[in-house]
Amino acid sequence: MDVSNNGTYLINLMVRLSLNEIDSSVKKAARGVGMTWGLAEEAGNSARWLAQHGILEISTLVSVLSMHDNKRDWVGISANACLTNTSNACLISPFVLGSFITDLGRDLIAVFSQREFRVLAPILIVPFLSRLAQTYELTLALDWQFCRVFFVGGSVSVDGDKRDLLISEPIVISITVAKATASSWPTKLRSGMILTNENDWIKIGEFGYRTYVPASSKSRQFGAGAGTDDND
Amino acid sequence: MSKDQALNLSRVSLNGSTVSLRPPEKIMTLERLGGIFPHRLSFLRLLMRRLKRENWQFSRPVWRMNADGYGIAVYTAEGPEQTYSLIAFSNALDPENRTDRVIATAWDASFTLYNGIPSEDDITRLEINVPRQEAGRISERELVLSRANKSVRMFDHVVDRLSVGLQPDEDLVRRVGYLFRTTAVYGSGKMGAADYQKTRTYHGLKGPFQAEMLVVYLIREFSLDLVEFVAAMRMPSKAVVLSHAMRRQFGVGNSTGLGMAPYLINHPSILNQWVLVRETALARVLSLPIDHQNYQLLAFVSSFRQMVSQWQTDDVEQTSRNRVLCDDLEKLSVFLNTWEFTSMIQWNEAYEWSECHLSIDGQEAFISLLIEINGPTVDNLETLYEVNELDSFMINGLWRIGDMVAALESNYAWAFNFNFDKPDEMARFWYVSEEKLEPRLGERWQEEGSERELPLGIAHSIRELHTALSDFNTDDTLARFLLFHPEHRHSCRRLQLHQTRPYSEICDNILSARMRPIDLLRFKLAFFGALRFDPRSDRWLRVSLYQNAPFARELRESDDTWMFPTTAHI
Repeated sequence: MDVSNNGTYLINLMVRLSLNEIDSSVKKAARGVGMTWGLAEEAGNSARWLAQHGILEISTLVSVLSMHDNKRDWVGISANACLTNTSNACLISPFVLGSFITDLGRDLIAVFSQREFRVLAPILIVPFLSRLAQTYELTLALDWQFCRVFFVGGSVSVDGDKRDLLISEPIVISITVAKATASSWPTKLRSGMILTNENDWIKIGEFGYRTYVPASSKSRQFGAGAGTDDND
Repeated sequence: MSKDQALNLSRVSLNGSTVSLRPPEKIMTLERLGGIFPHRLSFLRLLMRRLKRENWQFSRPVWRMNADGYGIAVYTAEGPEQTYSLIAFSNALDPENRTDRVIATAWDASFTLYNGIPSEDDITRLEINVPRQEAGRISERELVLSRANKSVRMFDHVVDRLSVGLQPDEDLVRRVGYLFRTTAVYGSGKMGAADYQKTRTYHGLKGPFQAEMLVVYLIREFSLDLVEFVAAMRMPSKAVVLSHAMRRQFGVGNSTGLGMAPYLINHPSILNQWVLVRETALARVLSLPIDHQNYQLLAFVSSFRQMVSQWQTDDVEQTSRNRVLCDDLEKLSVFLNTWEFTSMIQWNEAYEWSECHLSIDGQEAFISLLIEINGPTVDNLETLYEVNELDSFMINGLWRIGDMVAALESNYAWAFNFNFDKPDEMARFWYVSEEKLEPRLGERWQEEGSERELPLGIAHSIRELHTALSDFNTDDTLARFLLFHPEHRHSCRRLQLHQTRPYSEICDNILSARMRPIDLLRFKLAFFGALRFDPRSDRWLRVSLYQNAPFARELRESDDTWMFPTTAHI
């Protein structure tokens, strides 16, 4: 894969992305659409987790990041919606809600009890809950429509089909204490992912490209301090 | 690592004596970090000990070079459980295209480390991609991608001399010290390579940068094989190979610029472990009693002094530092020769003497040598390098704001030493260049782009966090604070991480006009095991790795004292 000087990604078919490439590219993309560095780190880390578990859809990421791009106050709106009890009508960023979830630690259930949230792309909440359940050895269930994801300590299992799991539309979710009934999944962690839709990845690259600083006569003047001739 | 473990590590006890680890605010300054030297727990030293301990076997199953030395070579390193192969591609390069900078698109040689023994199909696939470096793709069968340029003057000189049956000029060899100079050694998932998360489970590669260190070691073998081959092809009847002593003097050069600097700030847990290992080693050594003259230490002081006196650089400041270091090592030698050894004293007293009488470079060189002579006491610390960064990723949002403020004021007191209202303290900003796709340093008051600044100015962002926390209710939770202040999420993560990782922050202002990026680079390179620091500006430098190290065929009979060789070793 090349990145040309105008930022266009030239992609070969069957490109495999490493977990580090996914993490760092998504982090940059999140920053590129205006998220803070701390939230961007959460986005990158979540994308890595999803890729490792074989359920990363780049198109879902693009939908959420595009929403952040088009609605620059979405982080603030989502934050308020996390705290108010009338959040059902307000669409929440999964990265803001997910970060809040892990920040709450063991208090999650006490704070979230009897509450529902309207979230874009609920699959993006899964890595946060997984991390939380593993750290605090909690048993949790994340529900939406026809799908239920169980978290038992470090293991995750799903009751529902993949189409429902990967839905990237606004959807109402709830989090409860529940025991798993479905089988554990996935059995083997992946070490990267094969890129199936180059356009989505190009979009991630374009978002990330906005974090770069164009060259100027001043930057060339100060430069990297390198010599002009490396023949020695 | 738990907080209890961290606290236990703050003091080291051996033989009934206890020595404290040096405090972070003392050693984590740019000035101190930029004065550190390699030591026996540097990464390439770990690799060398493992290769010897496990009796790794090396071979060169492929050597398809033309008479000019252009073609393909494969070197295999066979460990007890796993085999890795360096695949080298050597090609002609127009001098106009020879640049060490990241904008380069062609190099004298390019390399990859393959997991296993490559098939012809693998070599064909890699021949298309590896010479293109960033413009190509490799697979998770590959662990490292690297490239190197020749020191043409050195390479041509050695070929000229060997081909007519002569050894190269010793002075020139001493001055340059290498035939090839790497300009990047990429691992950890770059360009599609296997992630470290995976390679750390491979035999022999668990420690820090071990795959990269193996690549550089094998590049050294390749560079010497290549120069001898080209000489032999030129005049088969007259050519000779390098003498053993001469061969040992060649290391691998490395050209390092700003791209490497942000790593130390972006990976606080890793930085903490590196420093913790070295400081724990030092504390262990300082608590040891000394009741007799240590002749090995004296020999190392002498050989190190000789090495430093031979280092050449055009950099005025480095030249001066080298001179002061030579004087320091002389002073140290006199001190050790005249010191009265009794059963009552510890190395700690000698170290305290060094703090009063030697420069920072001199003190840090003494530390490297003290660690060097105490292998059995410190070598098992290499297991402490292991760190999982994800362990410190999660924020505990249940902390009260009052506790956050207290932790910040206690652990980041150094950040209050800078007046950020002064233009000089905010003079720089770090960014990724659109043109180079690499981290660069900008002048904030003269260049555009600071709104795209990388989050590396920790002292400044911590101060901003302090202001924001002070405006919040002290009984409120951090989780609630972060909902309203997501801009501080990055700093809060660092602050909590720092609670149990005291060496995770560089206690200095990275944005200051007086900051010298090469201090960061030198620190990192010293941990790799690099020597011969040759700054080319305040933003990049050249170094040498593996100089004097035993070659693969010598490993079995070698000892572990090659880094500071006495005359017996060269």
